Amino acid sequence: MLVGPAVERVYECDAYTVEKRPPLCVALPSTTEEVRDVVVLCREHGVPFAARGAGTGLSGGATVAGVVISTRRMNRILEIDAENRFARVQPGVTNLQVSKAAEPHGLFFAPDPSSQHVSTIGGNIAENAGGPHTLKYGVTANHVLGVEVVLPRGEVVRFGSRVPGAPGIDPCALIVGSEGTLGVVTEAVLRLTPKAEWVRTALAFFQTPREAVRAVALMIAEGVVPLALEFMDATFMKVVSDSFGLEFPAAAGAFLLMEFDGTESSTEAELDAATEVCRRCGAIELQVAKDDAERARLWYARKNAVGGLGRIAPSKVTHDGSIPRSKLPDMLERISEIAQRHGVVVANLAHAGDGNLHPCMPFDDRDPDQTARMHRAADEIMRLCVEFGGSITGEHGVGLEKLPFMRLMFSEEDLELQRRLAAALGADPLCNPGKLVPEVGA
Amino acid sequence: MSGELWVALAAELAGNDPVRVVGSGSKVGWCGAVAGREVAVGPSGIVEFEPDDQYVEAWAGTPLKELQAECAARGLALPLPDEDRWGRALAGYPGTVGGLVAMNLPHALAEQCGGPRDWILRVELLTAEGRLVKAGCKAVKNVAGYDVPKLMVGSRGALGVLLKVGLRLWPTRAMPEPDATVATDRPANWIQRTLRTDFDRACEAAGDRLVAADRASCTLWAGLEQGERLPRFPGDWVLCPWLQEPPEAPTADAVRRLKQAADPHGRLNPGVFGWI
Repeated sequence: MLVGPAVERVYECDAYTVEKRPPLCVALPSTTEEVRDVVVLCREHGVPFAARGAGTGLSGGATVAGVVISTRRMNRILEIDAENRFARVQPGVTNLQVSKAAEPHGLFFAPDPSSQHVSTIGGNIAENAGGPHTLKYGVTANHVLGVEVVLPRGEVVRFGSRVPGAPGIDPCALIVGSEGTLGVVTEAVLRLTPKAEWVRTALAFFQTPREAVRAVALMIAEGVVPLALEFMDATFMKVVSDSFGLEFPAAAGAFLLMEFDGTESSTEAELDAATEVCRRCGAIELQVAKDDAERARLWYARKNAVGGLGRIAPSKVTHDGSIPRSKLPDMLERISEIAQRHGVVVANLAHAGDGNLHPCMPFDDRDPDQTARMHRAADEIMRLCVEFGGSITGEHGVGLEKLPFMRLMFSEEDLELQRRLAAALGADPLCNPGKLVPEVGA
Repeated sequence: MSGELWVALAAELAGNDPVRVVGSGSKVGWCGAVAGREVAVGPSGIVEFEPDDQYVEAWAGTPLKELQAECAARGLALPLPDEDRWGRALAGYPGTVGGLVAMNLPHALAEQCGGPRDWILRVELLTAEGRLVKAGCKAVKNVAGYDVPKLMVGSRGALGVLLKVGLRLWPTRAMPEPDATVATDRPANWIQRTLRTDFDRACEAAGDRLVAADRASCTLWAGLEQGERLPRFPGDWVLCPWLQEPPEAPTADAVRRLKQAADPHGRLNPGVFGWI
């Protein structure tokens, strides 16, 4: 167990740094039984508790003024069954460790959040993490076959199975994405996906963001199923080229990072179809990665782009609205108008293929006026996402950050059904309070 | 029209009697016997079709055939095997859109393209008290709130009555071919999915009772004598009218609690799971 001022500072928030709540202490259990003991002890003393993996969450899901149950010591891969394509792991294993362990068997764990080298499976499950490659392969929920979980009242249960697709009601559906409000996942059975024989990665540069996202819509309409389809605007391109030494055409106002996989012939055919669409939409330059090293460099820049924003301002907030993809061109224009009106800088990244936007706002958190303007702009962007039929959060979670915005999407009756179902599995005010679903009247 | 029908349904739910909610009835043979007055899930038709977003939303009573035809005209589909070519079993016993979601039966593209659990984005449903509730949204990626749409998949109308279902579509030109075989056109009454390592033995055990097999997902369909059983394998699951067995204790217990929370008086499709 860890206590003291240093611990309070380290664990007072996750990667959502706007709200801070110093914990009472940090427990470091090594086994399911120890997790259960901590949960039971917290209940006996009426102390709130929450699980925490690597603390890379972007919405405050792991921030609790109580006992933090760290999964750091539960970091073993228990089983890789290559033939049956599953891995059984403890929650503190990192996302990338699973894929690395599966690699010799020609398999990988498909969800790939940008934090994958540090973020843990427990956290990925809690947040139903996504990532660029989820366009083709789906998010965490599509790859969790089963879990062992210590429910909020201390019961240890197992849901799901190694064989997918079982008929009947699957409580796993509620556990994945529950943001730690349904207890602590202590073991997970994950689906492993066979690696495709062929992968191609390309960059297409456009003069305007609108042209780029129009290409996205056309590509998908033509039946191309890219592995990933990432959008980046000029503000971000500048950050990336300064941070990672990449060269981009001077006239480019946006780029699309496109990736395709499959058999050699299907992949090359998709790449051809996609580049043809890009040309039609006014692409000014196309670059195809020549080898794995070049491909890795493109992805490194994309996955670390948000970190590069540190060059511009001391703080940043990454938003996560999600919309039906045909609304992307309008949405980007509206975002830029909103940013101008509130006098804030917005740099746009998007998992364009599935309509998940990441407008990033660099700001100075020591300046209350700037912070307030940033919040007002964010508020408007979220409202717009809901107006377009989308969501306030595509993959980062509700957490503390977006709790007040849940009522933009859901009526009191909608929320009541969610509360009732969660309560049936033991959700209560001690287990990660104040996350995901707002309380009645709150 | 459709609106009026669901208002009538809501009125029915506001009463006290048990209700039996059923779509076209194409899959009732796989369920436990349901007591209660039958309520037809009348509303049918596509509510919203956005080809550019690969999104379709339909009333639960919409025949799958109708939905597929509409989507095919724009090069899209729910990735299910064609019934005429692969037979009812491998096509997942197609009936209505609501039945597809509520029953979550396997089909011969499940390994390659997933199933309703992977396609569902949004639902509107009537609670046991007859209240209209929605969950999910039209965007492909959404983590706002508990995943109620996914929980509804396989729930057989026992947690709420599905009214509208929003699903993600596939481009037809990107749809793979099933890796499946049809052995006979006899009807099946046993579905079993095993680990990859057990599948050959499971098929052998079925012998000439095998109706169809999907090698990709390791699922087999068999036609057995009433009351007969085939050998079981570690981790497998079985669907069979006379084997309405509960899942393992913790799951069964959690499901009972979910049922109690969603339908405290047990009025929605009582008996549909046999063991609840």
